[in-house]
Amino acid sequence: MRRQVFMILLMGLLSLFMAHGALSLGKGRVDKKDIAEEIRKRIQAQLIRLGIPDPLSPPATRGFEDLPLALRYLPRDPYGYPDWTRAMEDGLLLPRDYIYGPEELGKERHYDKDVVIKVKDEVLGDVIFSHRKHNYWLSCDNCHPYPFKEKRGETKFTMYDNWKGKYCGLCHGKVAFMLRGIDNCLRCHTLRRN
Amino acid sequence: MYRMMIILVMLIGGILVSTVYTQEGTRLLEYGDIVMNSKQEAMKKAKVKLVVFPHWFHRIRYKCKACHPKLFVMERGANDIDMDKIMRGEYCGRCHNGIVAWEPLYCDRCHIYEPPGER
Ligand code: HEC
Ligand code: HEC
Ligand code: HEC
Ligand code: HEC
Ligand code: HEC
Ligand code: HEC
Repeated sequence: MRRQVFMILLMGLLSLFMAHGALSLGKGRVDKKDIAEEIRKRIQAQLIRLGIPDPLSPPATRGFEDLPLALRYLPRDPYGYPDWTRAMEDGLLLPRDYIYGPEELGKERHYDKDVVIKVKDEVLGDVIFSHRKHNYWLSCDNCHPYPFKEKRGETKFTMYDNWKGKYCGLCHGKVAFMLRGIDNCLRCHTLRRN
Repeated sequence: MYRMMIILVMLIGGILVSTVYTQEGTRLLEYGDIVMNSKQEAMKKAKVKLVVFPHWFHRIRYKCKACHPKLFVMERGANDIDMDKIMRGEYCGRCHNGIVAWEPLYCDRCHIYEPPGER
């Protein structure tokens, strides 16, 4: 008898716990959509003025079969594209630095610091630019001195320039992950402010 | 008799499939694929299709720094590439030389893209 009561209580607790989990999950999802709507409202006028297509509409989601064979087993982002950063950090890739020998690259400098880029917007977080994640793939002369000066805050640009294919948009949107869809926005706009 | 039937069916099937595949020379572009068409006229004259450079395919094997910016300027159409240079081992020919990757003899591995509506 006592055991039955105990079991019923336990089940009740469990279902409460699960309901809570489901609710908070749902809330998370609504939150993201809300953020997207809020951002869209704030930047719509400027986007139309500059003729930039709506960046908050997500790219077409890709299934397993849509990807070429070579890319299928890499970790993937929420839209189904390969997540190259995660693949790199999990050590799944072994791309070569050079074709024939290290002398091709010249004297390579080492630089691992993060740069925080302040964003003129209250909804989105500031951007953390990670030199470590970029220098794994790229050499300095891809970014310095063009398009970025090698000094914090010296280069003046906006998100609209990025969407037009300049500055960060030189790579993001062509080869590196896109500047489209709220999940991608949050890969750059990561730093939370209070 | 039965065996003949099977062989016949497989033969016809094989021919059908292979024709479909050779006709479908054009393929969908992957994200990051670059259509290289700055020498469009010369390519049309030589009856080859446009070149597709598959970034993500190469990226599994090489970091960006192996190619950019020394070998290729990071801008569509900014590199003056032609077959002469490739055969001499410049640009794509740095690797597609039979040592690092296959030689530039197989035209239809690179020249695969036809803009839709051209056929
Ligand atoms: C993908 C592009 C990219 C690459 C590659 C890159 N950087 Fe940077 N770097 C940036 C950006 C963006 C900034 C910030 C500029 C700003 O805030 O205006 C920056 C800033 C800097 C700064 C100034 C930091 C400060 O606090 O003032 C230094 C120093 C620097 N980079 C050195 C390097 C070196 C050395 C390499 C090569 C090993 C390198 N960078 C590769 C994009 C890049
Ligand atoms: C590649 C990284 C990256 C991605 C992805 C990205 N942003 Fe940004 N965003 C930036 C940077 C860097 C700035 C700061 C520009 C500056 O100096 O003002 C910025 C600034 C902004 C601003 C402030 C206005 C301005 O120009 O300063 C808004 C709004 C914004 N981003 C919206 C978005 C939205 C919406 C998305 C997703 C569709 C997105 N961003 C995706 C890097 C990114
Ligand atoms: C020269 C090319 C280039 C430029 C310019 C560039 N990036 Fe990137 N970035 C990359 C590549 C390549 C990756 C690897 C991930 C990928 O390809 O999707 C990457 C990855 C990132 C990541 C990591 C995403 C993650 O999932 O952790 C962030 C954040 C980022 N970039 C922000 C920026 C910002 C902000 C700027 C502009 C100030 C910028 N990038 C400019 C090439 C570039
Ligand atoms: C095997 C060599 C190779 C590698 C590796 C490579 N690229 Fe490229 N890249 C090219 C070629 C070739 C072009 C086309 C140049 C042209 O059209 O003249 C190109 C063009 C580009 C462009 C210009 C695209 C446009 O639409 O204007 C960008 C951006 C770019 N690459 C970024 C990258 C990034 C980021 C990486 C690393 C993740 C990378 N590339 C790795 C060969 C390479
Ligand atoms: C850094 C060396 C390098 C350079 C430069 C290079 N490739 Fe490649 N490429 C490779 C390697 C390695 C392979 C894989 C060969 C294999 O699988 O045997 C390859 C394969 C390919 C493939 C086959 C892709 C598939 O789906 O099977 C194409 C197409 C191709 N390259 C086109 C080009 C073009 C066009 C250029 C010049 C714009 C170029 N490559 C420059 C190294 C390179
Ligand atoms: C490794 C990849 C690759 C292979 C293999 C290849 N090509 Fe090309 N081809 C290119 C690239 C890249 C261009 C420059 C495209 C541009 O920039 O517009 C080009 C340009 C051309 C052009 C126009 C420029 C010129 O040289 O007159 C012709 C014609 C041409 N190719 C014919 C051929 C023929 C014929 C073959 C087979 C023997 C072949 N190609 C094999 C990559 C390749």
